[in-house]
Amino acid sequence: MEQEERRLGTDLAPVIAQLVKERRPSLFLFGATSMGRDLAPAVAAYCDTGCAADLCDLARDDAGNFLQIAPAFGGRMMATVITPLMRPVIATVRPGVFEQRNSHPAGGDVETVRLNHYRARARILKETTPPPCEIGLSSAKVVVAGGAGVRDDTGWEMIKLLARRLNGAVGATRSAVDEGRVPQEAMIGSSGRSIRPDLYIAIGISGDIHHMTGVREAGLIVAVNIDASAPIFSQADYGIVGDYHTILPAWLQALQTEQC
Amino acid sequence: MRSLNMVVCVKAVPDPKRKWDTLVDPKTHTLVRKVTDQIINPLDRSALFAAVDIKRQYGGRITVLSMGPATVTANLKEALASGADRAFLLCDQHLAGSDTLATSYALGLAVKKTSPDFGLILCGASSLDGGTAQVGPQLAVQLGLTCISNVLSVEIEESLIVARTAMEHSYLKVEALMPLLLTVTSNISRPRPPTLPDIVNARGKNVQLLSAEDIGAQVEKTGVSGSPTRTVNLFIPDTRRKAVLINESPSQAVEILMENLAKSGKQLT
Repeated sequence: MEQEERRLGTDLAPVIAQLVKERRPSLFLFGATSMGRDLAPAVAAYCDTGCAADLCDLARDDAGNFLQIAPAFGGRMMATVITPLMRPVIATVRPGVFEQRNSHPAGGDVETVRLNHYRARARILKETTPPPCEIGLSSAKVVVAGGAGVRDDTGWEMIKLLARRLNGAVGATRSAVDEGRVPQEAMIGSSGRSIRPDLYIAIGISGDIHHMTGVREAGLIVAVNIDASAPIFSQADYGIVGDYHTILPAWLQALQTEQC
Repeated sequence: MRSLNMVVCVKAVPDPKRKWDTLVDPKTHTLVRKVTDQIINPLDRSALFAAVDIKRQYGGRITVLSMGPATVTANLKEALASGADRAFLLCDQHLAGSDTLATSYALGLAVKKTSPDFGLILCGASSLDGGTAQVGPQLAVQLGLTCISNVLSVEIEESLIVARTAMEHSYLKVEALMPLLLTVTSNISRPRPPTLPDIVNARGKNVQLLSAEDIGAQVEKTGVSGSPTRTVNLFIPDTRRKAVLINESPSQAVEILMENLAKSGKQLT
């Protein structure tokens, strides 16, 4: 879509719904972006069909139902939703939960469709984009994140330094974001981002399900926490029970030695 | 400007301070609702107070609308004490088990019935329990409106609304004419508990109950029959992992950790 044609999801929906009625797909997926999360349910409403939001997984059962798995209760639980009768099955898919493939194995055509003219009731006057973070959280292979347990500036300095040394990005839990330690974009969890780095290092993070659900697909999870009973330890591959004030300097030192 | 009639849609949700996994009926995968456990969805409360702020500045009338069991009356009484002028509860067996499409269908009819001359509908961007953020856009479709979502702030000039909204990586400034539907974020207002004078003033206001018949709903479009989606399972995700604990001095622990990470074969540094 051209820049000057930027529209709100609910303005665009009737035209997309028209396309759906012409082409009759069985499944129509949208990214769960701000636009997608308005557009998809609105299209579903015009087409009188079901819409599931923010899928973390999609599968099919023996009966041919699309099993749409999405977070519920703030990410504390997962719900499996089906759309047994109506078609298309419409859903928005959470960014970052599926692996992005760089090569396209088999067929499929990209078709350009001319949309009919439609009346846009809302006008976008201006868009402001704050400057992006240094290393994109969604593409980083290594992420070092801090939680409520990181209580001082030194801790956060070391986290940022460790991330730099490992060529990674910095992430955080909701409490750290609320405290203003890191920007909103760094928040990982059910109300923040889902990421799938090769290595996720959690410093002073208790392991609350809202947060951990955002890193379910991480390759390896390492946890450092002073509290041996923190739930994160059962959700990590490796855990060090200890104070980040001693662990992080040791780690940074070891990396320095390695690089020499 | 003509008097601004606003409808605020609110949902009663389980209090997040309670243990939610014990509130789910394992057979129907729906909530076991108890009145003491329910609060007004926080973002809907933000919407209500946004309406109160708008009313203070521009005048108008606030109608609060909800759908749920009779226990939600208590939550709507709180809404009346917080500044709503009228409150309606869509309370009917036929409406139970509605997904977002069936919910927006019923709410749409209720808006037409109770507030045909509305200028603005306000909803919270999403609910704590379902969290789909779909009722706003779908209700807009039911009523032939456009929906501006994730609104951080609004300005009103005659019948023109200018809203500042949050997208995932940017902010938008959007304008549209009323009638209009807005879904709001917590930035829009500062909810506060009702004061004693507020509560006393609200004494004369009652929550009015509406049935599916009252709003002229076609039964097949409501409740489970009117819901194209169905929840067939609700589970706590299993995020357990290997859980190897390294119990050494800091420098030893780091050494062991780095050895293990190197062995994992991933190019990490």
